[in-house]
Order: sequence, then structure tokens, then C-alpha cells
Amino acid sequence: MTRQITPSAGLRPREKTNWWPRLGLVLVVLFYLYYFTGGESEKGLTFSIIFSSIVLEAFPFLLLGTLAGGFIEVFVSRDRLASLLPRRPVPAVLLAASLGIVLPVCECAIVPVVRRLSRKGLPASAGIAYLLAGPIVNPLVALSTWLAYGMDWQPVLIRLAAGYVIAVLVALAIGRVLGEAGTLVPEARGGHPDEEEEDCHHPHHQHAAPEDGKGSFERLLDALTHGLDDFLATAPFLIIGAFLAALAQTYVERSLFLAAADNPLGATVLMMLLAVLLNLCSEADAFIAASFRGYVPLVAQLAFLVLGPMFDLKLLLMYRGLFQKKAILLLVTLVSVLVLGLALTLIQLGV
Amino acid sequence: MPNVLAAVGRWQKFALCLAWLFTLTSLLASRGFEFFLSPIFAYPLGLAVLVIILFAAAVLAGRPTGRFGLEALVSLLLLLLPILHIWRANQQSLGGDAFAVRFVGNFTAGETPGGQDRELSRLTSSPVLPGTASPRQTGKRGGTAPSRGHAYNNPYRQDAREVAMSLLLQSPESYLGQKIKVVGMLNRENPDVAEILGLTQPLVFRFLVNCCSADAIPLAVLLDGGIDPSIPDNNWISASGVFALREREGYRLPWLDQAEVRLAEQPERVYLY
Repeated sequence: MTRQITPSAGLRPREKTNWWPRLGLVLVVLFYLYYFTGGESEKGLTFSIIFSSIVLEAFPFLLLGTLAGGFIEVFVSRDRLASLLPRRPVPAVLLAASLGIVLPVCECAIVPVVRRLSRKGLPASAGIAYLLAGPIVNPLVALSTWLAYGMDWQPVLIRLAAGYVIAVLVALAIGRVLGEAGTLVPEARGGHPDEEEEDCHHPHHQHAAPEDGKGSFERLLDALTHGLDDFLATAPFLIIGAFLAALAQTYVERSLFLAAADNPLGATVLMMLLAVLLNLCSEADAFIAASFRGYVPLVAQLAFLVLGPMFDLKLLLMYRGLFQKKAILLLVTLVSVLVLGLALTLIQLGV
Repeated sequence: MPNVLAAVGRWQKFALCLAWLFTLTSLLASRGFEFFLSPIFAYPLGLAVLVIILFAAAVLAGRPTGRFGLEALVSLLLLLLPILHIWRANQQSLGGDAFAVRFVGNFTAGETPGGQDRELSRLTSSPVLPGTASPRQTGKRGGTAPSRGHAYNNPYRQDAREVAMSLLLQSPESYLGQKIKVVGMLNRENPDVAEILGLTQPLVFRFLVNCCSADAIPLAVLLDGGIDPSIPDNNWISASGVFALREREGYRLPWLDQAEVRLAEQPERVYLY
């Protein structure tokens, strides 16, 4: 008899049973309506190109991230993970924020990985630190920023240092204010093994215990099944974010952002808004920021480069499968305030 | 009924995998993905195909996980939406509309009235990205060594040498006074461009892509000369003329003097990388 199992503890938003399918259906209707009514115009074609590009660019990394998440779920034990991390929160956060140096993955891939690591007992604050710093503090991003800014090290160093410091501060603050239970959605929380048993009904607990009698092939199948379920649960949010970003890229003229060029703080705020709207990959966003050289101050460009990889439209939607609403709100507020603070400091320093 | 829904849930996942597998392999086989992404993305897309094959195999070989319901339907429809857009936009490139939305007036080297550096140099291309080569790599640093004959004295009689717009705007001084040809799309009188530049002038533009067309940066060269009115905007053209940098309101703008504009085939790679 085939054993029926429920979906894996995928990256589903909390309370999704209440609002997500219905809201999702409304969005689906609107999105398809746009497809069938606006397609023939030049705007419609531009939208299709940009939307497709964002999705195609992100999908490979999301697939790899969810695949890695599936393998973590099945093959990495809670004890093993605990033995790799410092026990005290501050060293754990400091270490996690620098993980991008050895695991240089983009923001789309990090979300499912952190989700699975959290279920394995990674402290929420350490997860946030890796989530926020990983897409900035990594060698590929350093290289692309260096190239974009004409091999000038100053923007590179400021970007990486600011990314690291802000990620650490936000992670520690959220960990302290909200704690583990107040930060993560229940599906993403590790907790006691028994608790996990209740939450995830896959027939392979403990996943990472080789003595569970499962062969390698079955464990591999479990890992792939987890990966696919995570992908199917995460990708819709990526697509919604990509859709909104493509709308912004199609209809919002970038020259509008030049209006505030004379006011460094105003320009900084506008560039932060632009970063949220454009949803660019952290490995490409430096080229866009650099195209504003001479039009908006360097400080505003740096705010764009630090804020964008930490949260944008698609990431905010993807975070819903990982964090509680209040945690996302706190994250957005803290990151915004700290990036603004960074900008003010740099303006004072004459950067 | 639960068994039926479980079976539908399994097969919709498999169908979704197949749909994406077909789309990605088609894009890779036809190199159609280059209309969306930098060529280097062939590798991540290849890996994506591999992962999808593994996922599809797991659906066939594994146990069913989850039933088909409203949530699964929403996910299915959302995941199919990009495929529809990909097929609509396949073999199409960003055009004048995207140019107008993205153009913020960045042309090339020059000083702003406020004294800020408006240099576009180096940001527009990377020597490590495929499809671009620096003048040093092509042995053309400082421009082509102009032939020391009468053509050198009269650049209008030189044969035009095709130059990628990214290279041209990377080191514009290297090409000053030389007869060159650039390939791009024609844009005559875009009001947004006119507002930014403070002048109405036809131009040839092309996009520079670093990762995907969402990050495409418009590059442009102004055209000075009669343009056949039968050539519509947003068409691929080759424009040849003598390259110059002209000062205007404190900006140095790249121009092709006495430009000859002809309709051209769409290049094999529509974007510069």
C-alpha cells in the first residue's frame, strides 16, 4: 500500500491556509489578465522580456538552493550542525555573517538553505546574519563591484564592510528582541526533535540518522522530494516579486530618480526605493548603481548596493516562508534605518 | 477521492517539471536564452536542467507528497506564467521603450556643470565577460593606428571600421576623428531623451547586459546627418561616420559626424556583454 504523506515542511507562509491560496488566485487572475491584454504593445513585450529575464536568472540558483536544502534536511544531523557552530550567539552571528566568503551564493539560493538550516537548529539570529550578509560579503560580489566601479576599491570595501556590520547588528537585535519563537515561523523552527516529528510528516525521521534503516537511494529520493517541495513552495513568491519588479522596470522611468540628485539624503532614499523595486541580483546590481555615477552621489549608490541584497520585493515575499510578520517588519525597519545612518555618516565624512 | 487528488498532485508536479525542462532545453539549444541573459548563464541553466531532471525522477520514483487543491493550482499557474512570457518574448530584444525608461543621460567622458565626474569608462564593460575585449586585448589601445596616408588627413574618406559601442564608450578618446561604424537600434525623437539631453537628435543605441536584461544599461551615440525617413525607429541599423565628442552644456556627448545610416540585420547577439 502506498503510504500517503503530507507536503514537506516547505517554505510556506504562516497562515497561508487562511489567505494565501485566495490572494494567490486573485494575483494569478490579474497576472494572466495582464498577459492576455497587454501583450502586443511594446510595453507588454518589454515587460515579458524583463520578467522572463529575472525569473530565468534566479531559477537556477533557487533550484540549487532548494536542492541543497533537501540534502541538508536528509543528510545533515542537528548534532552535526550544532558541533560546527559556536554556542554563544554573538560568535555564531559573526561567523554566519562571513559564511558568504566560503559559500558565495546569491540571495535567491540562500533563503531555502537558511530555512532548512533553521529546522536543523541554526539559531535564528545566525540565519538572519547569513541571509543578509551572504549576498554582499562574498568574493563574486566584491569582484563585480570592483569592475563596475572602474577597479576602485573604495566602494567595494564600504559595501562589504557595511553589509557585514549591518547584517550582524540586525541579526543580533532581532534575536534579542524577538527570540527564536518570535522570529521564525513554526515550519522553519528547529526545536526539539519530537516537535519536528510532529511538524514534518515525511517518513524518514530522523532524516540524518543512517541507522533509520533506509538505503542510500531512498534517502536520496527523500532529499530530492524535499528539494522539489521547497522549490514549489518558494518559486511562486519569487515569481510574484519578479512580476512586480518587471512592472516597475517597465513603467517607472529612472530619470525620475535624478530629480533628487542635488540632495544627498533625498537621493539616498530614492536609490533605496529603487533597490527594492528593481530586484536585481547582488552580482549585477553594481553595474546599475555605477550607471548613476555623476547623477546621484556615491553615498546614494552605496545605499542601493547595501540595501538591495538585504530586501527587495521578491525577497520580502520569500521571507514570508521563513520569518513571522513582526520579524520581517523589524528587519525592514532596522536595515532601512541602519543604511540611512550609514549614508548620513558617509555624507559627514565627505564620501 | 483523496487518492485521485494525490495522483493529480503528483502528475501536476511532473508536468510542471517537464514544461520547464522543455523550455530551458529549448532556450539552451537555440541559444535563445541570450535574449534574456548573458551567455555565461548557459552553465547555471544547464545545472538547472539537471536539477529539474532529478526532481522529475524523484516525482516518478518517490511517494506522492500532498494533494491537488487550490494552493497547488495557484502554484501551478504561477509557475507556468513565466513560460508563457518566455515564449512570447523569445528572440525579441529590448527596444526604444526600454531605452527611454532606462536612459539617464550617461554617454561618456565629460564633466558635469557641478564638476562631478560623469565618466562612463570602464563601468560599461568587463574584460572578463564574454563578448567584450578591451582595446588592449584587441591590440587597438589608443585606437586603430590610423594609416598614414591621405585617409588619415581626411577621415571621411576612410573605410568605416565596426566598433562595439561598449568599447567606443569605454575609451572614446581612442576613436576621435576616426571613421567608424556602430550597430544598434535607431531612435529619432524620443521626448524623454530630448528632455534629459536638452536637444532633439537622432541616436543609435544598444544595451549592455551584465547578467540579464533586467540590468541592461543603454548606450547611445548621437547621429549627425540625414537619415532616410523610411527607416522606422526601433529598427536595427548600422551607422557609420566620423567619431567626435562635442561639448554641450558642460557634457561631452559622443557623435557620429556625417553619419550614413542603413538598415541592418539583427546581430546574432542583440546585447553587448
